[in-house]
Parts: sequence; C-alpha cells; structure tokens
Amino acid sequence: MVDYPRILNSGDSAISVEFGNKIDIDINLKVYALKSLLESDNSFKFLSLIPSYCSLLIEYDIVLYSHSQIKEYINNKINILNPYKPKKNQNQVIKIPVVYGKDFGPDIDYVSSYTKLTISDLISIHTSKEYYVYMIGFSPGFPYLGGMDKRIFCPRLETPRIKIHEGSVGIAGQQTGIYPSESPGGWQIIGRTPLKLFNLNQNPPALILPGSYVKFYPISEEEYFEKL
Amino acid sequence: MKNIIKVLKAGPMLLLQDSGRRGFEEYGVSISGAADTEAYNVSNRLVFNNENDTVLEIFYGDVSLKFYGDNVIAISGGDLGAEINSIKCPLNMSFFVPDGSVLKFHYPLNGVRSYLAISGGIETKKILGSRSMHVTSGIAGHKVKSGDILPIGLNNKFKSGFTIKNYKRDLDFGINNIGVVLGQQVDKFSSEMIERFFKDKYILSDKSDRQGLRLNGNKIFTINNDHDIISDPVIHGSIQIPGSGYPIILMPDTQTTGGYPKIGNIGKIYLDVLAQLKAGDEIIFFPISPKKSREEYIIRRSLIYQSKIFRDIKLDDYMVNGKDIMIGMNDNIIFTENHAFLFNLL
Repeated sequence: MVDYPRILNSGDSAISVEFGNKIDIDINLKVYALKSLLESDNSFKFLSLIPSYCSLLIEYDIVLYSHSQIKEYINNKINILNPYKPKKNQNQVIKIPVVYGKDFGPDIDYVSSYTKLTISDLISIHTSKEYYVYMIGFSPGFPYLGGMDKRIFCPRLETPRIKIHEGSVGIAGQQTGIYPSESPGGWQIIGRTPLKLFNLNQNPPALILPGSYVKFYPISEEEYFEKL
Repeated sequence: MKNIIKVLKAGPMLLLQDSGRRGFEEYGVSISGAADTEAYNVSNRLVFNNENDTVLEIFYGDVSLKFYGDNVIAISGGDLGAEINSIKCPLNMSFFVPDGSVLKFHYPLNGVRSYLAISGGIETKKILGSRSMHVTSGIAGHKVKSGDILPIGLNNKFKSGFTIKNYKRDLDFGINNIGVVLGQQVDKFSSEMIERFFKDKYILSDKSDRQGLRLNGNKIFTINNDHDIISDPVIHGSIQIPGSGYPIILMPDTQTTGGYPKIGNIGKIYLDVLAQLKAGDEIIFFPISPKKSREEYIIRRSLIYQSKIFRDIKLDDYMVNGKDIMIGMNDNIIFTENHAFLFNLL
C-alpha cells in the first residue's frame, strides 16, 4: 500500500505531489488546493505549477533552491492543506456537438469491437453523461473529463499517432476528451467536434475550465461543416 | 529606422525562441523555449542582450537571411556551416554585420541546432507573455516562413568581437552519456527493467521533433505490463515509456500532461546535448541524483555567466589606421575599437 499524499522526483528541478491514484473529485480538489496555496505564498518563487487529476508538479529555479529544501517546504504545506472551493460560475454544463465515426472517428470500429457494443450503443452511452472537467492538459485547451461509463472503457493505442485532427473526440482507458488542435497522441478517436476549444484572444484562453461539466451530443456530417 | 531581418529562405524549421512561456500550463499551454538553453544563453550574452531576449533557432540549415541596418550578431550551438556574404562565420563570438549582408546556414557539420542572437533581440508581438513559437499549436506561429520580416530591438551596448573566456562547447559526438534522475512512476518498473534501461545504447529515431525524441533500443515494460496511467504532469526531459516499450524523451514543446508511465527525467545539462542530436545518433543513460545533477548544472552555468567576456585580439603590425582606431587580427577577423569584421583572406 502507498500512503498519500507523497512526493515524487520529477528531475533535478521539479517534484510532483501525488494525492491519490484514482479519478476522484475529492483527490482532484486537493491538487487545486495545494496549487492555490502555493500561488498565494511568496516564500518561494516557483517557475511552473502544473495540476492534473491526482498530482501537482512544482518546477523551481535549480540555482536558487535544492531538491531537499523544496521537498521539506512542500511537506509542511501538505499538512496544513484546507479543502479547495471551486470558484463560482464553474458549474455550468458546456454542450459539445460531435460527428461520430467514419473519417471523423477512425477508431470507432476498434472501440466498438473491444467494448462489444454496437456503434450506436457506443454513441448513446458516450452522449448520456455530464462529464466533470478534472484538468486541462496535453495540448492547449484539452479537457480531461471524468465519469465515463465503464462499458466504454478502452485502452490507448500502443504506438501514439503522429498526427490527430483538430477537434477529435477520443477515449483512453477510463477517460474521454477532445483534441483542440492538431497534435500527436495515443487516444482512440471516435468522433470530431467543430467547436474551437482554445482561443488566444480570450482570457482564459481555454473554452472549458476545470470544475465545469461537458455534455456531448451527436450531429451529422452536414451540421459539422455548418458549425465549423 | 529600426533594423530588420528579411527571411529569404526559411528552411525546414526556423523558429523564434526565448526562455519560454510560463503561467498558462494549467490551460494546457506548453512552455516551449529554446531546445538548447546553453547555446541560447551564450548567444544572447555575447551580444549583451537580456537573458530572455528572443533569438532564431535554426534546425538543420537551408536558411538565408538578409540584414537591413548595421547589426551585431552571435551564433552558438550546432555548426550549420554559417556564412555571411560567403565568409565563414565564427561560433561563440559576436561580430559586426553591415547593412545589406546575407547570412546563410547551409547544413549540419556538427549538431543540428544553431542559435542566432541579434543585438537588441527580435521584437515580434508577444503571445501570452512570450515570443516562443509552439510548432504544433501555432501559438506565436508554427514556424518562421520565407518572406517574413523580423524587427530588431535596440541595445545600448552595440559592440562586437567578444568571446567568453575558456568557453568551449564539445559537439564532437560519439556515444552520448545522458544523466537520468529516476522518478515519478519509477516504482512501476522492476529493478531488472531499470537495469536494462541503463545497460545498452539507444538510437535516436527519425520520428523525433521538438515535442519528443523517440528512441530505438531495449524495450522497457512496467511490472504488470500496463502502460496507461491516470494522466499526470510532464515537463521538458520527462522520459515516457509507452506500450511499445520504446522510451520517448519529451522536449520543450511537450504537452503539459501525459498518460504513459515516466521512468524518470533527463538531468538539466543533458537536455542541451539531446537538442543537438540527429536521427541515428547514439546515447546511453546513467543514473544521477538530483543533488549531483544540480551541481553539474551550476558548474556549467557559471562557466557561461561568471566567466569574463572579452575580445581575443592578437595585436599585429599589418595595418595602422589612424590613432583613434585600434586594429588587430585573428584569423579572418579584423578588430577595431568597437567591432569585429569578417573578411576574406586573399
């Protein structure tokens, strides 16, 4: 058994604090609690704070601080952590149109055979839930969504693709998500949305923020090109 | 009038880079920044720029740049056979570039990435606080294109002919020894697998870019053969082990989170070595503690920032050109009181 939280090495100038090892809102809220605590504390100047489902990565200036110094400081902080309260207006449901299958979702046949579901059952299960947004990561504006139905769990590709189309909707293990821009990636792609998830002219630049909810709905190929 | 550079030929991958874009990681925005930070820092220091000024990162060459206005520049990192007005350029030394000059980077002679700092820095529009181009998302541009105009900033200290005392960059690669700090998901790997990771050489695959270096060599697997983890944060230097078993080293354009287990991270000074490798180059990993890795970094950094910056002039009696101008020569470089000029030996 592993005791949480625990501190992991992330090289010579970063550590990760891991609060658990499952997709769980309470664990996720601890990650944001530590992040907001460190942001409001000026005793150390951190280069980067990167939140995820269960971990916060803390990158610091390698010249100014040693690994053990940061470890000790963070250990003390973890012990006085209060639960994080999400900001208001974050509990909205963002509706995302998706065209499923064909060239838009090249892995839908594989996911269908792996899950032993028909494609239409797969789509209706995928669109039935409101997914909690645990984090944004992997690429600009990419939301990691929780709460996917067990029946459509499916492992990642063994070898990641070099190129995945902007707006692709995918499944990886217990997770579902959307690629906001063209990038390499290892998710099973089942569909595509015409919505722009990331906009540099907005602040924050991401359309979907941690703490909000996302719901997918199916559209036709024609509707996809109309909304593009 | 402001100095500018006109890009006559952009080659396969010409990028603007600075020290990176930080503060937007929680929105999934990559940090980016120069892949070879040492070469980036050296080039900026030689032209008296600020530490985080914007430079050109030239990958593989095939680049042609025309300078408008008198400029001072310095090139560091890989040797891409740079020539100005057909005269070979020195590396790791600042020199004067007269109005109308054409600078060409041909092809890799040593390393693959050259850094070109111009006195005053490149002053395009900052996006989310940085000018670093993120190739895949196109934040601040996917890359520099032929025909682009790059505005140059002003610098109060407009002097050239400087080198860093005792600075030497060894890019004559055999097998590269690369330090690894074990971490993040190392407990998912058996000691036999970790031993295998450090035992034999890996070869850089041609499917490598600023997002990640893919390696061929010993396959590494987790204890339960499960290579899906709950996605957690990754940074430049994280070593992912996907289901194929072949390690991927994440580079500056890396995503902010990833779903493959990470055996560890590259020690900071070795990131610069990796930035200069090409497909087929060989590396061998060795374990290093965070403490030792930090010490190595601090030593290397002090060589760049604490060493004297000076003009390596061998005084000569070739020419005397008035009493107010000191003239010396060193190879094909003429030094005056404030500048170094390149010329062709006849």
